[in-house]
Amino acid sequence: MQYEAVIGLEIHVQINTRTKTFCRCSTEFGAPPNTHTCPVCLGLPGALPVLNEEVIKKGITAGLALNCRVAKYSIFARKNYFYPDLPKAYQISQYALPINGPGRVKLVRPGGKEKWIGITRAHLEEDAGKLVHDEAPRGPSYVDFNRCGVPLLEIVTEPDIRTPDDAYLFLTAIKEIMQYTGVSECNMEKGELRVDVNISMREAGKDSYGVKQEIKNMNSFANVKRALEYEIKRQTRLLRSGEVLTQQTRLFDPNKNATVPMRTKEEAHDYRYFPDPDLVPVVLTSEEISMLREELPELPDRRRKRFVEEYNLTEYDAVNICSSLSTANYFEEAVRDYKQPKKIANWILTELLRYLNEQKIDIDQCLVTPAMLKELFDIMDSGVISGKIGKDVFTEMMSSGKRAGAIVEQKGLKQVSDTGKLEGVVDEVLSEHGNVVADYLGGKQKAFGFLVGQVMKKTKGKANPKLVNELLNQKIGGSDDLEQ
Amino acid sequence: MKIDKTTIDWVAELARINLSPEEKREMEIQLARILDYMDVLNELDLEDVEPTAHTLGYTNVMRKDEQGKSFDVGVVEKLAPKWGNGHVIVPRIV
Amino acid sequence: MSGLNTETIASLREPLRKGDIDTFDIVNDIKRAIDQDAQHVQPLNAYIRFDMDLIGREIEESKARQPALRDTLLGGVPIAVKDLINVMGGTTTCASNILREYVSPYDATAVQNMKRCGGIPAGKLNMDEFGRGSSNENSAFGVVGNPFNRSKIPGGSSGGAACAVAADLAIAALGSDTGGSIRQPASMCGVFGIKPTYGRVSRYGLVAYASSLDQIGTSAKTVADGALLLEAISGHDVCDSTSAREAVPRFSEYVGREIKGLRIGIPDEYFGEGLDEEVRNCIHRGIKVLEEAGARIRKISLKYTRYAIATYYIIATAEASSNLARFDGIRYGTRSVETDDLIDLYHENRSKGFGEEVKRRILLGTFTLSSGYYDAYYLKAQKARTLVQRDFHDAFREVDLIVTPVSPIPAWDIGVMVDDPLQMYLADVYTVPVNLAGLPGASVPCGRTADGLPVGLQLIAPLFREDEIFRAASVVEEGFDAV
Repeated sequence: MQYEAVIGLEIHVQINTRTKTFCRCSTEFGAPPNTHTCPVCLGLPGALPVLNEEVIKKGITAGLALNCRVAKYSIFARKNYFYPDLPKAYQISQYALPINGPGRVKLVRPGGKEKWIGITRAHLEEDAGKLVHDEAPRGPSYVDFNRCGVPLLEIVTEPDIRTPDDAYLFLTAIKEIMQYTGVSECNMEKGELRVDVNISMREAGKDSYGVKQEIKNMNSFANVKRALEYEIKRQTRLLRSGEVLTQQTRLFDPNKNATVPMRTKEEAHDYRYFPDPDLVPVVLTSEEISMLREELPELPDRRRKRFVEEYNLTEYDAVNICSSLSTANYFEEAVRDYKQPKKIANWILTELLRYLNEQKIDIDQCLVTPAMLKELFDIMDSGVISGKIGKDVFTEMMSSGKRAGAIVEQKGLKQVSDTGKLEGVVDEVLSEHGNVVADYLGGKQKAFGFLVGQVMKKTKGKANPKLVNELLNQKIGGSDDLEQ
Repeated sequence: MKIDKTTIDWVAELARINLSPEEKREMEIQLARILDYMDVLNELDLEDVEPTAHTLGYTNVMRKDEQGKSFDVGVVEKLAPKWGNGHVIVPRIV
Repeated sequence: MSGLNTETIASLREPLRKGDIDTFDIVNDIKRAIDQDAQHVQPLNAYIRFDMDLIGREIEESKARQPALRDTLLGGVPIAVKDLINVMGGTTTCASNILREYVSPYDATAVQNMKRCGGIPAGKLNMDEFGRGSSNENSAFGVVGNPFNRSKIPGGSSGGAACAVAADLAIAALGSDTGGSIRQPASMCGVFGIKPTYGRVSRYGLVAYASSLDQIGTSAKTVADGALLLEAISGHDVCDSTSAREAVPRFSEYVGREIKGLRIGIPDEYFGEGLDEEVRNCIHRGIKVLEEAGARIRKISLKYTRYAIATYYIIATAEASSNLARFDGIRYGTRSVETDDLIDLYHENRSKGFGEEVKRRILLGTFTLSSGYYDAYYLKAQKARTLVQRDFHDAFREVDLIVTPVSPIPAWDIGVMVDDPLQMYLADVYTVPVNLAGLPGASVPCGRTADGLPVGLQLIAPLFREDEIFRAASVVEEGFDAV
């Protein structure tokens, strides 16, 4: 019996505004606890909410970018439940009339077919505070209300996703869209994006739905994928053995790469939604919605297409460069001054990204500007330094912020292209490694590379490789297919 | 029976309120009477009537995304019945 | 020689302005009167707190404020405040154990407005817990008495306000009205009380009971005082999304104006059975006074009146159950138990902190909002509300003002209705429709029963037409002053 996974995601995106949804406290991340509070977000008696217009604007912008139908009439509702991080004992959210109705997002699979994932709705709500637990297992818990009231966009997908890979791609797509529209950076470490998944298994090809399992506590896209992979295995195994599954909430355990049942008893909730009487409806005209649609920036899909058409990048390169708005912008700025897009793309995707990953920083914190990159490339193109040295110079540029020219000067890295000088070194190498020369002449092609390497070693990598090859060839003759 | 003991138990739980057995009994009786009285609304034909949520009918009341003054953390501390490490202390959340 | 506590805002302004007296003098006389009342075998118990230190600080601050006190509307007169309204620096208990020690870290906007106009907050008034009640018997700080007969209720929930004003324990007061909470006690204590149009006064800082019905209003010894104080606290507030943008007229200028040709409607439904004979007679005398002053009286019908109580209580308790959920003893308020269990904490704090009537209304509201019942109750009530509102709007095409009794019966004995909540709800029949429609309504003294208990006459005006209320109210006041 073949089973297929039916996966839906519930994503909370923290909307990037200066102030909270219903009060004028700052939303800045990382402030000392309980320093961004006021009567409203603390839920003091007598406090009242007033809607931040930027939240609506960004909520609609996000909805348009998700191809949602924007509601002309939407209201805020109270979701009533008790929890220490919820000061008013209700969350102001949206229920019956959300700002964004059904929409869809395109999955771009590298080298594969596109797929559209349906969005059921994307509505606005306020975030709760943050709970931290005491280290001692029987110690108390601590509440920080800074996050209380920060605006969220809750995106609910249709159960259209079928594989963990697609779930990963979907999350990437959402992140891109939110970045491109300026709605959110979606940095999971800062809590700007949170995701819960619903997954059930059913007989392949059937229409019916299996029993839903809800999975929480995944703090990275990779963990979402792992959690789903584990769940598919687990549920399939249970179903094959004839077990009947019950609706469960499970937590992903990153130490085990597995999901475990949630230990606390999940109480049945009755949220008693009703329209919040302290807030008035949001009413939009078609013109207002159209205007916001026109103001949408270039979205990821279009940008990818344009990069392929305009810059002749491969789809693969375009997808990777466009996966971050900052990277895409960096690329375009670099290409403006140095008109070899393929080369820039390559460099970004290899040298630049490698350094950023190793140092765990973002491209926004990168010390090398597109203009500096151009200077480096110009220097390499002119033959002043070799490609290999260029990489070393780049690393130095990234860590120090110094310009390529300055580094080459200071470190005396200029490529040695003086034929006379090089010839001397070549002669030295040839005399020191007579046996290797003999090997080469005897037919061992690899020996040539060794000799080149020795020349490079003696010149501390500064010898012009092309010239070295030429000289060696001259002196000991042989093949032309050499690597640097 | 509009409101019986099970319902009272359920509603009290939702509202996080303890009731003694006597209180529960009394509530059951009183609430039942009150809810019976509410039935008078069934006399109305509300088919084509729009609900009123706000008597003034305002819409789109919003403010600019500009920062205002927040409480000094000392204010929050003073209000909190239990405080430590810059946080409000609550019993352990499992 | 009567103390300054027997004066009115109007009579105190000049001496204050001239410097003949100081706010301190007035406050001292009030304090003396309160202390004297406390010696009584059955004290009126109008105040929850009268903190001389805090009041002293308020007075000092007011002197440092701009514009100078002498140039303000209220000139430095002390005003008592219902303990449901936040006044910074002192407790706002809402007459509940759960907020017994809660100190407000901010001022309600209405209080800020009042201060700016030279009103000094002086004392927090007793009330029904969280505004729930019509008799002021539901307070964690004891029952309030009626100055005309101490074994009778003063009305509620702003019982302390009406009582204090009537007994010269305050010059004037800020109260709140959700279903009659200013008007009904004003009627029972023989003072003037007005609930303005919904949105006229900011609700920011008023502890919410039913958000779509609540309004802050004024209780005063005279119509003129009530108008002046209302003017001082009214106005649009950016901190309240339901706040009205209408300009605030100079209400006091309408006091004393004639009412010739004013069309007044008398709804049949408010004069049916259930209305006490003596009350009916008083109201009729009041209507006569208006007629003699030139008003044109005619009968009207408000046919949805009989549905108003059910509509009101469903909406009010639903909103209240949600508004009261924040009182859990976690961030503020009374945390009465040390426990390791979180659910326990909620249960204990809320059960110990809330009184009987509050619990009842929370349960009722929670029930009507719960799954499966929303359509049958809350949604239905909101639709019925539309009909009640429409009723009034239709009537106001024919008339300028509507006159009715405030309460079907005069003040009843303390303790007699506590066991019958439904009975007490039904006594709100004349006042709740006004809140449902968001209209301004006031109670003006209109005679006494044979036992000497005050009766109030209710004036209801169209949206934002408090001016007409003040015009007509002062005519009634004048007519009965002569009595």
